[in-house]
Amino acid sequence: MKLLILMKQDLKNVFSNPSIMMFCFIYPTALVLLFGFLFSDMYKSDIVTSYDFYGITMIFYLILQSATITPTVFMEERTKKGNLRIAYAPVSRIQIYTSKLITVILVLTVSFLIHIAFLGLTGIVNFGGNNTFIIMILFFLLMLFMVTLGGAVCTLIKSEDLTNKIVGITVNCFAVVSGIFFPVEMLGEFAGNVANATPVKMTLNKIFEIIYDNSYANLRVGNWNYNYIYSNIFNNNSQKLPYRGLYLGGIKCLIY
Amino acid sequence: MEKVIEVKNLKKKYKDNEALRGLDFDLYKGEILGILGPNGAGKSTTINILSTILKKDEGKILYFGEEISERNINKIKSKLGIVPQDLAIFEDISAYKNITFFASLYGLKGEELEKATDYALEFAGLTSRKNDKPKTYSGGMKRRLNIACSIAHKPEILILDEPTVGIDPQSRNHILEDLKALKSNGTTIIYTTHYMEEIEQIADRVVIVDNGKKVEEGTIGELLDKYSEENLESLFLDITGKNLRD
Repeated sequence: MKLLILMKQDLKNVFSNPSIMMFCFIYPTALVLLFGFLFSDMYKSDIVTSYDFYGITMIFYLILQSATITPTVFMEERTKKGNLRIAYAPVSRIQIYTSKLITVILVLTVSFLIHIAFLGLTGIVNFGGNNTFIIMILFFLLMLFMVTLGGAVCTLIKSEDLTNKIVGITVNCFAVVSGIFFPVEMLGEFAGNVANATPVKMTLNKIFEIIYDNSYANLRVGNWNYNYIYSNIFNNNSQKLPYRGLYLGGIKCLIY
Repeated sequence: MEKVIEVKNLKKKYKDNEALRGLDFDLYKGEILGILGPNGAGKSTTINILSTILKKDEGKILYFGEEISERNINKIKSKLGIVPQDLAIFEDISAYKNITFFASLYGLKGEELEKATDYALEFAGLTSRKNDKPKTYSGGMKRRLNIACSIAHKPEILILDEPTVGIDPQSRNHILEDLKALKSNGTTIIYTTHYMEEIEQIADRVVIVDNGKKVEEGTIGELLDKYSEENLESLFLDITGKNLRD
């Protein structure tokens, strides 16, 4: 019951935060359309348009950036003071953390579903037809990881600003190196090899294989193992070690 | 008199800084205990430990004769009302919703919750502005709302950490009168401040803390007699010295 009361308040806080609302309900479609338009000359193929490419990469990039949303919900200046009083109340810390995590996951899931539905149903982006559901599950698992990772780092560092800087810079570095914004292969063979070695690029490649080759060949059992382990940690150990457990699960996720 | 809080040999260290070096004091049912001390004396650390959000390193705190544990922490928390030094309210929802939300975390609901909210708003003199957001309030009104959020669930012990910082004399007077009213209703109060006249006005007993330890304790009258001082400020300077602490 108290968890529901907390979640209701957390939802109000999230929906009254303009930057989170922009992130959730404007950026995904806006970035896909912007990058799709800007780089349309580079993708002349009938099979993959620039909108198809950036439809996947930009949503993937924003999901990586969703690690910055949890610290905002935890420690943003506007809500931090109220959150402090919650800690005085007879509510367990686990409920406080859980409420915020569930709220962020819920809002992000709904918002990304809306964008994927819009971009997919209007035919702007190809999300893989019958494979769309699998793509959405992959996105969802990545989002689970990033949201909890953001919360874990924030709890360790105890600073929203610093967490967002660390996470933001790391994600942007990975994004640039792995060619989320533009094909790095055009910078030379070395850049291409580096990109292919990043987990971001590997995951993106697998997503594109599923969409265009209908191939699950590289989606190894190992990948599902990490998802399974991660989900188990999230569901079971969160009772005792909400962040440590999730963080460990997250490391497992990064390795894949 | 019944002890509601017993603090024994309380110690807390932040890296190399020993904030508390074995603090002892008791809080008796129905009294207002003033905790005085210069900056860095350990007042806020004591309050944070008493309010359960900060862990002690050593020592013992008994609430109603019980030491806090995983088993009874929520039971003890539900008997406490905390007014922190910094405002602990949501600025983007109305005063009414603030009080309702925080009171509901103490298990209040339905008619009981409505009554408690109305009582707290009336207590803080905010009924006429209850639907306004705190970000539109003056500093004094925010301070009063900060207290209202702490008393809606009718705590047995109210702990206030410098609740009147930066507000006008009218709001300060309102708060002090309210605290006296709470005391007359049986609430036990711990009050820290730098304003000596506030302590003179409301406190039954005083604990003076310096360098993380209790240096004096007693009623104001007893302490003034003991040190042959005329007022609390000169008594305080006599005990803690005149050197700057910042």
